[in-house]
Amino acid sequence: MTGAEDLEQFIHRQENAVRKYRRLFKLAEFVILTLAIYTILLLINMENAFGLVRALELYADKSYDVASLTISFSIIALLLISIGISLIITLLLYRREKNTSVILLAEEKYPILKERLRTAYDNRNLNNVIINDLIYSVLEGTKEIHSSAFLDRKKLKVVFILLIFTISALGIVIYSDFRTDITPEGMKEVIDNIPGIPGNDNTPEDYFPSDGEGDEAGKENITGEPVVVVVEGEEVDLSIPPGSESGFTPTGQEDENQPKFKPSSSYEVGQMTAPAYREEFPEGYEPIIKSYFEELTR
Amino acid sequence: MDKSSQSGETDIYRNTSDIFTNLFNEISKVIVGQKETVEQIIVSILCNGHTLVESNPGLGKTLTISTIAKVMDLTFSRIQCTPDLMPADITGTHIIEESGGHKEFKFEAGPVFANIVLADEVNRASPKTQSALLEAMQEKQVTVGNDTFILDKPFLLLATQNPIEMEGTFPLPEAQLDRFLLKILLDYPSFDEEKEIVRRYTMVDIPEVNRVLKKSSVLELQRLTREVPIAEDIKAYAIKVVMTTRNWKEHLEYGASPRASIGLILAAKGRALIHGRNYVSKEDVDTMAYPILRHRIMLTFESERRGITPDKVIDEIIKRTE
Repeated sequence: MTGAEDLEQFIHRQENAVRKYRRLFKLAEFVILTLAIYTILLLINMENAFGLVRALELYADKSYDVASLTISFSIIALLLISIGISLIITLLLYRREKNTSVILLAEEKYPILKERLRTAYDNRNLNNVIINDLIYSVLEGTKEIHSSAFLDRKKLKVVFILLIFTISALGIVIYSDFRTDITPEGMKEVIDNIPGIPGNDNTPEDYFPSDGEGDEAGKENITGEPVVVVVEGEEVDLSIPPGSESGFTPTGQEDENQPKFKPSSSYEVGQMTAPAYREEFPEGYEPIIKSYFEELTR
Repeated sequence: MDKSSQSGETDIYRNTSDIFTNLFNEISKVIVGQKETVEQIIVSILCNGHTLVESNPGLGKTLTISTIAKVMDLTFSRIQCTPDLMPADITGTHIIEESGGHKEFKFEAGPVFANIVLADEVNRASPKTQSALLEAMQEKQVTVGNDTFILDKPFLLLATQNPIEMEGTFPLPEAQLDRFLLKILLDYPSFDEEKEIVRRYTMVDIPEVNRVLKKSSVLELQRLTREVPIAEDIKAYAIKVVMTTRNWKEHLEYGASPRASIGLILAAKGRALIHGRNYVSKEDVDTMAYPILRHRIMLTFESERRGITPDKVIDEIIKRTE
């Protein structure tokens, strides 16, 4: 086997190892998320929510026997919801995952290979005395590298701790039957009271008040701008009068009070100012040239 | 490549480290300091390129280049450029020679027929004479009348110019500047270096150098330089550095040509070989970017007015490029 083939095999082996570790981390994160979401759903009594949904009302109290265990419908449904949510989150988290080159990872872990490994790999198909020597020396260096070197031990610790924590939390919640005061019914009530949510008791007038009959009525337009202001005790109408064309009154009648326009007087030609001398300088050079002449006049 | 030349190449490659150590040690017997300058001139020789040196008078340009020629067993000639220098004074000319009772034309080779040619104060020569160097630089050949003469390999033109006396000079056109692989700036020596220079050159025995490298070895090294591998991302980085010079309109009127990209990668390979590496490092590209690009970029009027130098711009480009 040539040096180039050895090098290719080494990179291939490491790439497989790195992919395996990534898959492992993805799976662990998915499990942690599922457990965490399931625990939260239990804590907020979401198993009672199925009774509120008309389509699931029939199944809400059902139980199934699975391998000598009786599992209620709500547990299965909550589990499926947790799996669904964590699947979506995991996919979103790894959506933009960069496919980090194993060569760069190896160079980072083993500075002795820095720039050498990638050069040797990029030029493995060439054959001359320098490349052969480089590939040989790189292969010597790679003998120290084991696939386990690419395992992110820090991340592994964090994942392990999180896994223990979520399993413990779920265990406590299940065996102690600990629940919060939050219930689906309570949450529905809170949601119903949020203004602006369709289906609530609020009428459209609560959000978009009409002109009405009150004192302030008719003094604002739709954007809240005042159309009437009071100047020295006198109300002044600020609404834009119709233009030269005939307008319409709010009642739909044709506006007969046409505004009168006066043409402005033309200026006297004899009083025109002389045109100032001006030259177009290249963009950005004007201040430089000005400062140059100012320096000259000092 | 046949087996004998392959084994010769292998031998040279195995001894590269010793070759360059001996070379630098021998040169340092005569030249004090200026390690970077010497290294860059050798890079230029390895890349089969030409060099433009800008320095104040008396900094040992001629001594440096003649010393390098001596240790490498290369022929050396010097042309002192003046406004009345004619192209034929450089390339050579046909002269009438009488032999056996009849007269005939004989070609008398000019100073350009050497391995290393020093064109001192090249910007004092007229544009016509400067352009006579173009063919020699680019094609490595000289045409006189109807005859074309191939120059001996290796061929390096080292041109110098003085940055302080610009009166009566003919600045090199951009097309000709682009043909120089490197532009080296030579600075004054430090106090200790100057003390050592004074000590060496005020004694009875003037330092001498020995030949440490055969001409054939120089040619082998030139071939080895081109064989130094470079990673794809470092190659891409070098090209990005050159391309940035074309797009940075804030400071640069115009940037470097693709010839600069070729030169930068080649010079980086040469530097890697000198430093005993069998691969090109990013550091090689960064170091060689200055002499490769400084004569190929033109600053805007505003940048020049603000006292920004080409090296400062290159420095910024290197920092910006990833």
